[in-house]
Parts: sequence; structure tokens; C-alpha cells
Amino acid sequence: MRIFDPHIHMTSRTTDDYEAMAAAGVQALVEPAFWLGQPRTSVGSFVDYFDGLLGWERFRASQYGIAHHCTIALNPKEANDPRCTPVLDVMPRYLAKDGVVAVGEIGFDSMTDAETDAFERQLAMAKEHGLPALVHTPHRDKAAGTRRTLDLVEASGIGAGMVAVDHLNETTLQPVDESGCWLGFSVYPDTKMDEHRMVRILQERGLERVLVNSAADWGRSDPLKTLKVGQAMLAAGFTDDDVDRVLWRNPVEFYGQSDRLMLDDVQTDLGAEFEGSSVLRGPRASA
Amino acid sequence: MSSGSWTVASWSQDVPALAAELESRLTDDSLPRWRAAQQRVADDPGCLDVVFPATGRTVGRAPLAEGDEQGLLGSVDDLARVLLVRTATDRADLPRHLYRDGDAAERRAVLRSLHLLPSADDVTDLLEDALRTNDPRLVAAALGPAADALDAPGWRQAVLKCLFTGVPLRCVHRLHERTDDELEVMAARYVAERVAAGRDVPADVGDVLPPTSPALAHAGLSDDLQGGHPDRLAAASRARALLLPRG
Repeated sequence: MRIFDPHIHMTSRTTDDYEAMAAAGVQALVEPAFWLGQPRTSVGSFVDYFDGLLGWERFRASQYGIAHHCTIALNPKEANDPRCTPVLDVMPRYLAKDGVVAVGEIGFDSMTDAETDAFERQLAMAKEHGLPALVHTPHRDKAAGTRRTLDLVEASGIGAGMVAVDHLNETTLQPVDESGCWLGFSVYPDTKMDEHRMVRILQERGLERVLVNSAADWGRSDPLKTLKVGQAMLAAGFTDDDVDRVLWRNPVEFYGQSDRLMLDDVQTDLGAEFEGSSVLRGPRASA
Repeated sequence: MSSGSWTVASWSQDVPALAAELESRLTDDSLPRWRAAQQRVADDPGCLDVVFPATGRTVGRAPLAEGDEQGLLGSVDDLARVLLVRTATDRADLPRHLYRDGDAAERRAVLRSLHLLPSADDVTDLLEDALRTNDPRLVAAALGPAADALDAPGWRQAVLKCLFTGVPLRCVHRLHERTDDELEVMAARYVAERVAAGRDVPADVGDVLPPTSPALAHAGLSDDLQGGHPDRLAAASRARALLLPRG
């Protein structure tokens, strides 16, 4: 089983996790920029964090044969702090970097005006840089937050296929599905989704436009939840190819729209074309 | 120079030679893309902020030296970025600006370009910044020709860091010329620590600790020093086989 975790905060995890993930088949991942648990108080704190995502964390992952990519954003929670919002002016230089495969996590936390402003500006940046957008949906008042999210996405003019709306559940997936956006599901030990509910959704709805992630971070979470979903799919009668579609080809298709995936070292057969176009841009390593 | 023979000294070539080296490695697809990128920067140096980060996507990222899978002696995108920095030398603060705003790949190229720049600016702090990281490709890039700017104590610490972090010493510019008694003693003490822990020493530590070095007296290689512990005796034996003259 080859696994691409499309949303995991490795900065908060140990090398034991990297080792276990590599053993489980995780060969690539995306680490979205988010908050640190402890609120930031300056733009410099973001800059060091972004540099870490692009530098040290990518190096750490490479030691375990895992291709590390990231997304860059001002997260919804900190969009409410005027000490943090000037990071929006620094973001464009990061959006030009290799391995930055989307703008994210953007979206709503408490649905304030400041959050709306940061969300709109960052959707515009995604459009300008030709990058997908990864959108976090709120923990509280999730249904209303999801509807408002879809309104802003539509108003921005970015294509629905360039947007993944994340942390969905049974009550929020339908409007996102109808919008044409990608559907992200975070599988957690206690909250959000679990692997058996995830399998039921896949059985009822189908596999296309679905991203399954562990969203593991500094809280109680499990970086092997992607593997466990794959195992639960097989136990429920899905084929190996179905599992590969959900856990590898779907995230490659979504983030591949950035032209910034760096999978040369992990998956040599990706040079083969996927649905008519190779995800590997520019000359290959052997050129 | 053929692609198989790229060494750390290759970075000391002049700009036309480096440019020819790069073009010889590009494909029918990437060569026109590269020339267009270079022209863009020549016409408008301000474009560098966009072209510089995208260089890996333009020319690829293959290692320059055969068998150097980690790219510790540099990669094709390093080479292209060095040439881009040279194209835009009218900006005196350019290296510092590109280093500060760069990711690890961009920073490597800035480090590899410093010795080619006419700037009289002291850029030692950039080398020191790279040497504080634990990223072997940045450490290796800081020890290319630009490392001539490091003073002897700083340079010795950097070479020792290579031994600690697994950067092969063949990545160090003018290694034999600059190795002095003090570095030999530092390397010997490092060998002593490894042997006392029952561990192997880096295979290339002999490059800074030759069989004739008096510093070998500090390397803790004698069986008498191992307290009779089998793991230490075995480690001492392996280190002696590596470091002492045969027969």
C-alpha cells in the first residue's frame, strides 16, 4: 500500500512517527501551515515557521524516504490578531517556492470579519499563483461555516476543482460535493471522522474527489490513520486499486495541479502518465 | 569537464566554464527554458525574486557528481542559480537578500556563488549561519570555495562538523592545504570518543589524520585503553586498521 497523507503536521511529531509512517507505506505528505497551539505574537514567528516547513522538516522527512511538501497561509484563528495579519504581505515569496503545493489552511474559525478578509485575500493569492487552496472548516457551527466557505470560494472565481474543503463529516459533505470542490476527511482517534465511518462514506458516495488524511498534530491524533482507513477499506471489500486511488492517486491529482509536487525520488513509476498528464514537471532527476 | 568528474574544486572554475558545464547537462526541453530565464533576469534583475525560487523547475535537480545521490557536491539547480546571481550583480545586497528569503536550495546556491562575486561585503555571517544548521547540503555548500573566508578556528569546527554529521570530507575545498596540527588533534580526539563508545569512526577521517600524524597519539587506539571491553577492543581494532600504516 502506498500512502500520500494530504494533511499532517509533522513539525509536531517525532522521528519515531516518521519511522512508523515509512514502514506503513507513507511515501509522501503535505504539511499545511497552521497555528502552533500557542498563539504567535509577530510576523517573524510565521517566517521562521514557514522556513522550517520548507527546510528542516523537508530534510527530516527525506531521512525516512518521505517526500515532504507544504502549504502556506495565515490560519483562520490568527487572522483575528492584528499582530499576525501583516504576514499576508510576506506570503507571496513563499508561494513561489518548490514544494509549496497550495495556499492553506485558510477558512473560518469563528466566522469574524477579519477571518473573512484574510480568507478572501488568500483565495485571490491562490488564484494569482495558480495554486490549489486547502480550506479548514470550523469545529463550532460547522454546517454554517461550510456553507459560508462555499459562498466565498464561488465569489472568488477560483475553480472548484482547485479547492479542497477539509475536516468534513456526514453532515457537511453534501453541499461540498455538489459544489465540485474536493472533499477532505480527517480521521482521528476521538473527534472528527473514524475509519469505519470513512469507509461507509466511500461506499455510499464513491471514491472520486475524496482526500483522506490523519491531520495528526500536537493533540491526540494518529499519524497511521491513513493506513487504518486503507485496511478498513480492504476489509469492507474494496480492491487494492480502490485503496490506491483514495490514498495515493487522489492527493497526487489534487496537489499535482500546483505543478510543484516533488515525487521524483519516492515513486519512480509516477513518471508514467496519470490520466493523460505526468505529475512530474520539469526535467527528471536523470536528465 | 565531463559530468563524471565533478569535484568541489569544479566550483572554482570561472563563469564561462560554469555556464558551459550547465548547458552540457540540459536537455532539448530545459535548455531553451534556462536561456529564457537567464535573459529575463539580465533584462530585469528584479525578476530574480520570481526566477530564482523556480530554477529547480526550470533546469531540474540532478546531482552534479556521479554517485553523489544526496547532491552534497551540488546539483544542476545549484549551478544555474549561481549563474543567475552573477547575472544580477548590480545589486550589492543581493546575496544577503537571496539568502534571507531563500529556501534551503536557494541558500545553497548563494553560498556556492559568494567567491565569484565582486562584492567587498563581508559575507562570513552567511557561511556561519549555514554551518549552524544540521542540513548536510547546506553545511557542504558552506565549505566550498567560499569557505576561504572562514578563519582557521571556524573552519576547523566546520570540518569537525562534517565528521559528526556525515558530510564526506571530499566536499571540503582545499582540505589538505588547510589541515593543520590543531585539526589533526581535534580529529584524533573525536576518534578516541568513538572508540571509547565502541563505535566505528568515519571512513574518511584519515583524510585529516594521516598515518604519520603525531596527533594519532590522542586517538585512543591502544588496546590497553579499552578496559578489556570486547566492543571497545573491536572498535579500536577497526580504527587502527583504518588509520595506522600497514605492516
